[in-house]
Amino acid sequence: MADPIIAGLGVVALMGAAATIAGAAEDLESDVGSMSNPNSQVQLAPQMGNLHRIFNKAVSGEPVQMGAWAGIAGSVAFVLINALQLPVIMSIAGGAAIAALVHVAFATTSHMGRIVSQSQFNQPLFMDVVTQHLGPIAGHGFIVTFSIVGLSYLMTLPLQGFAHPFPLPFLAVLWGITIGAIGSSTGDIHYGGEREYQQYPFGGGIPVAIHGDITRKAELGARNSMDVVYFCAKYGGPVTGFAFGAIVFFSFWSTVVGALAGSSGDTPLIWGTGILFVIIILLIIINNRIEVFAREKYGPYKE
Amino acid sequence: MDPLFLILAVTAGGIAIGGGVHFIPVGGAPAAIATATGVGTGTAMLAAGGGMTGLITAAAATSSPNLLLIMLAGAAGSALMLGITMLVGNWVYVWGVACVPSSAKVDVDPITKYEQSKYVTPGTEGHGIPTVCFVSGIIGGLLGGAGGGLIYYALYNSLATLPVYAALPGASISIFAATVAGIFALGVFFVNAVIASYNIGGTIEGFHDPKFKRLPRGILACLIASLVTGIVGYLLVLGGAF
Amino acid sequence: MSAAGGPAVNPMQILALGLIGGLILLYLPVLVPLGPMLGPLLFALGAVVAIIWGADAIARVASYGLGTGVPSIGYMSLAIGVIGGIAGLAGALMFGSMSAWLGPIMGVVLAMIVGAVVALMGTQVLKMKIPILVRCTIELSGAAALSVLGFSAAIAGSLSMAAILSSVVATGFIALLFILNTMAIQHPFNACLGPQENRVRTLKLAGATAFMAMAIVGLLSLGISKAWWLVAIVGAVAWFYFIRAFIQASAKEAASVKWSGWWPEEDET
Repeated sequence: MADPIIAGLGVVALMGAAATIAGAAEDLESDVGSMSNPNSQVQLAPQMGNLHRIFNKAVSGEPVQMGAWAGIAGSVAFVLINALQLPVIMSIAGGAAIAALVHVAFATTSHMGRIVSQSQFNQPLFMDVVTQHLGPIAGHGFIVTFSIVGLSYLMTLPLQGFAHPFPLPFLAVLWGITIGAIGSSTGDIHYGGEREYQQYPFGGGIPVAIHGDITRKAELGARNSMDVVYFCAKYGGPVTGFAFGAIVFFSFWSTVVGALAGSSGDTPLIWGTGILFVIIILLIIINNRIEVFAREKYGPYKE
Repeated sequence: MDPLFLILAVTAGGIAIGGGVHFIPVGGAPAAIATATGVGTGTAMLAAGGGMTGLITAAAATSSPNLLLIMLAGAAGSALMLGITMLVGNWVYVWGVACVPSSAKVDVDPITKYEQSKYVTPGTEGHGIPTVCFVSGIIGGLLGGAGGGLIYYALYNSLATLPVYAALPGASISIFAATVAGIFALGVFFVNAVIASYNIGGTIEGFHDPKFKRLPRGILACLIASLVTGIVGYLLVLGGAF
Repeated sequence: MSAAGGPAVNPMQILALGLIGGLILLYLPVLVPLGPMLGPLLFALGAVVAIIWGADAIARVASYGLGTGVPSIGYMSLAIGVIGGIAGLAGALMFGSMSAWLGPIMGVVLAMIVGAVVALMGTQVLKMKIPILVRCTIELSGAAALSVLGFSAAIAGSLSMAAILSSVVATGFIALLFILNTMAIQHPFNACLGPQENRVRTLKLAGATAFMAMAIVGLLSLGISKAWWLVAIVGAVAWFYFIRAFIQASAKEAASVKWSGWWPEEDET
């Protein structure tokens, strides 16, 4: 029998790895579908006379969307595990597959709905844009829901420091909402702040005057959302994965490491929570260092 | 457990959540394209993400009888989520978009005293998450997570003593009480987060933003709404004797 | 701002369909013994009409521009609906088990009361300038509570608190119902937002999202309810009918439909 703390650390590491994959895929899913806040510019473009061939996936805020998909996947997996006694991996894959089907239906209707509701600007409804993008959208979504349900399942295992009181579907919804909030706050800026406005010089924010004048042409032909995801996979996606992985890793690492201080009563919890507060203070310091780096390296705005 | 404690806990938790949301720096869609300072997403959305992490860490501490510890666990989870999200968001602003974190709402950062206006791109209201916004966001996360933890603790402990909600044989935690308390805390969280985001009208930079002066009205609205929700929540305990 | 470019939908008719129709569908299996097959089907259909009502209510209020997007009012009302619905089911039992039948009505009424308080906070304390905020938030909260109760009963097979507690709440499905019904109610208007929004087309999409949620609810009741396949199949077939209607309406109302090529050349803009 392995030391429970070592075993716990192994499970936490596995959860962190699954979370990293989920985070990266979540951000890329929102780029290939063009959703959340940067999508406001895709929505605005036809009004400014800029017709385009970019997917307009206005499903809802990313947190609600990912909460729903992860929740569907987690609930269906829960049913398959408990009612049909299928193997866990197969059940999670089955749940994620059902969630991917729902995802495709919502993506199609939101693209059609938004484009048709602004028909006065002559934006055509490109059916090939819909059909080409559905595969990558569903695929990225599948990776996200599979990883989230997987890590939620690990949390419910009866191990020291785990055995969460919430059942699998509940945890999947909570983590889904969290990953959506993270994806729309971190990686999406790489899409909105840089890739959408690539025809303008690098460096600096996007002035209000050029809102809606998004980059609509690619290296060859019209730009579609697949061109966006190639670019964002180089930076926005990976750092989003890092963010979600770090959050999942540290929030459980603390309770597992806290058990080193003693396993009686509240001792692991007190130490674990104390460790989290130290990490939070470190985060404030690191952020300040980055701000100082940018101020010194880039300097004041010149023009 | 005393009914008054449950109702007061839900009210206090609601105020902490609603008040905490006012601290979280969100710039909405403009921030997502580096046209405004703050995190590039909606108020209620980011607060919900932080709150859910707090709820997970608070619920992981369910076995502890110590209220303060559950609130601290929730606060730490929420603040950790918001801290890492804001930090990585800043990475993207600095290295992905290449702009300096700065605010156009104040001339100098009240915490670091760094000058802001020279670093703001013309035509924008700032971009990125400077130190004052970051600290403000951490405070918001701590308040929101603690409020969520308080509501969860109060309802869990009110319900777990009832025979219907008793823990299953062999378990130390009642899954019935935990899930009901969890969904109730989640509901109160969403209600107060949306009330607060109505109050700030979508975007705010933190406690240095002029909009922060609207805080008392937001607190009043959250107080009354949470009081009513707490009374409704007490029905769960009243009817739990079946 | 009413539906432009299409026949207007009467909000009162939708309200009657959702509220009265929903309550009848929820109470019919309680009053008349319909057996374990038809009961869950009617419960689920009750939730579907409630979702369509909620989708219409959200379309009316969100066309004013809330400043926080369409989804936020959606999940706020679902949060109220879940709290009110469960508290109503439990609260009805405080008068003894004979009054359990009061549960669903009490859940809807409690949700509407909380919704009214929250909306009054918005208009009176926060000074929001949306004339129909109070009315629409009350409608939305009621629709949310009905939809959650309907789907919960469809999974559990009955509207009793004990059954719903063990097969919907303790399994965690309640969290999924919260977020799934949020999607079903807010998605139709959020997806069709724009100057040429047509309420009839929006409600076709509402039918599609509601029946899709019903199909998933059918899958979830596998192992709990004997009628799981009936709920899932009826949901899937009705979903197909509505999404086909939505896609046809979209193709008809689009500026142009193309399968390839560039966008049309604009005059100098």
